[in-house]
Amino acid sequence: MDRAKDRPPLTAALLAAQDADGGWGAEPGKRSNTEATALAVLALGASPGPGASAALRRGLAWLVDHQRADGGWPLGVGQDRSTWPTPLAVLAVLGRPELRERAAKGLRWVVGHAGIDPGWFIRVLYRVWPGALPVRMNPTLKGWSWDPDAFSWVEPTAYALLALKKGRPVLSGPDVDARIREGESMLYDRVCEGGGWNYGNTNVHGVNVPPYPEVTAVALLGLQDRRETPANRSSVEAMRRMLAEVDSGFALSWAIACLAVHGQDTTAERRRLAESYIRTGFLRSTRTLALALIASGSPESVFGL
Amino acid sequence: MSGPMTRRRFLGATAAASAAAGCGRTPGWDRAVYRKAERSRVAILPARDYAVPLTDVVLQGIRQFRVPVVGRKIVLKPNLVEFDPAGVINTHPAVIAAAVEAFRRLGAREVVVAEGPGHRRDTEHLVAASGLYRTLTDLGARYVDLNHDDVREVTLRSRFTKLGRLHLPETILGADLIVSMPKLKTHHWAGVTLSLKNMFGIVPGMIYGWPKNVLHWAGIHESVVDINSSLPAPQFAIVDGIVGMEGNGPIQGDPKPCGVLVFGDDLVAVDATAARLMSIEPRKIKYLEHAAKFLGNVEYEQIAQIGESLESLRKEFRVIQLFEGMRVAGG
Repeated sequence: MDRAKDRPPLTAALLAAQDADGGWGAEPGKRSNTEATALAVLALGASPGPGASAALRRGLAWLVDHQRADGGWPLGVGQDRSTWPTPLAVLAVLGRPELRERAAKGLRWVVGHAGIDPGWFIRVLYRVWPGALPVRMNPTLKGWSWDPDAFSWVEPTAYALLALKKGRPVLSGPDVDARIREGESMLYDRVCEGGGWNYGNTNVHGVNVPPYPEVTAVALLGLQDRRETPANRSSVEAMRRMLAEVDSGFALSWAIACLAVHGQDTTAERRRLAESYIRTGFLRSTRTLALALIASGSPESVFGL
Repeated sequence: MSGPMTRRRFLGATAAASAAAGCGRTPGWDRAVYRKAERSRVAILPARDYAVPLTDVVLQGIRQFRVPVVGRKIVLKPNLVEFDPAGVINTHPAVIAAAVEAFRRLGAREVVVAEGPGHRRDTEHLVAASGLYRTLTDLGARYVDLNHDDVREVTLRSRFTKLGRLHLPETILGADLIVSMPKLKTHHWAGVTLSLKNMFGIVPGMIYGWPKNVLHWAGIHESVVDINSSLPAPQFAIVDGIVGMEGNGPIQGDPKPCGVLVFGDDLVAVDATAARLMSIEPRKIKYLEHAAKFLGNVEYEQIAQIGESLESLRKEFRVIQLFEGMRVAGG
């Protein structure tokens, strides 16, 4: 996307998608949720323009209103427990001095949560006979989960790592470092053959499972301070290869953000992102609209450490 | 068990132990709510390939049953899992298009296509790359991403899992008829994936994640039953068996041309028949065994076949080693 030319239509579409309560839903007209609202706030914060500042203030107010007493954020309106979009909400309020304590509370929630333990049987089995497991992974490594009562997977772990690393000026300490180290170990344990990540299974019943570009991009953003690690380098290359076959706004936006953070040229991907919007309108996904707006500007300022 | 404990034997043993653990529980459903029919009907209609006039075939299939369509909101739930240039993983867009047209011709108020892919969040990629986006745009039909739909929590009507309640998408809760449109496929966790297992896709990823791992921890087979027992509207099934998948399904298997579409209003009977088409014994599929107790019919004698004979179209589907025991002896 042309940085200057393509942003106004995206901004207008995002502004038009804002719900009456100040948040954004998965699509225009759907109930506001934390993921879409956090990404929209990040996008508007990085793309000031007519109407954007008022919408941004309302979006931030929605996030403030919906932060729960335990510091986390729920999925959205009508949901009553804190869960996986919390790191995204933290990213959206980070850097705003008046919301510093909000960010710290959110980060404490992230530090205090992990994917569930697989149980003693799986732990023992992994120690004595890992080949008996139908999936090839170290199930004892705990990253973060989608559902608070579920196993660790790649995407929520990457969001959590990104928030904890960007949030270090607000919250730091040995417990934060320990969670970061374990989350990183979990991600490296789930790297697919040849590089890249999918949702989190590299091999099932002895057969390799291929990576996805969008998940690879998010994982690399979470691991961006380890970019000289061989797995990072091979995964950037794997993502470039995967992008040759993917034209979606969601994948291209995350990939552009990742490549920009890694200092790579994204001219071709930005052009394809613009074409994708024309072709599908991103299937009305507010989340993708916000990500595309970030990608068409300076994503390194939003997601870079 | 004699002989060395191989990985395959170990997996088989743990599966058996898991099955045994389920024995002896109190019935997992309210006997007053479910009235299983004495007999069910399943139609197997030929369709050589995806270029034949599929709308005619689908119309013929639906008309074999008393399906409530006129003035109703129909939700078609295809199986959309991964991008697949060979067209083997997903329900073929031509079959989905035929179903949209058929239900419209039969007087549906609205026909919506809805799916919540279980592995991949990038629905835009799956829908566009599979050709479904172009197909639905040409038809003026709406696609709903069930992973990101508004949701409501519902109480499950059976208790094979300990989940108790699940969030389900408003699109599903607002349907007058839910049409499960799976691919005829093997599955490396469940043995086969057909119209009942296809309903995993209605469980929203926003809540339960990618993969929908909460269901795996609760028990795949048990979750299949609890989801299907709790659907809010009547169901119908159209199985895309024109080209199925054998081997390491549901993603990394091989194409298996079968040249059929399978129809029915008892999803248990449809899946039992589809399994027999694949030379797989339906009673050995745990979720079908559970479902046969109260949701529908599995026994061959309880299912009236319409259209082509099962025997003339039966194929031998390869399965992964873990499920070799499910195959009908002699194919």
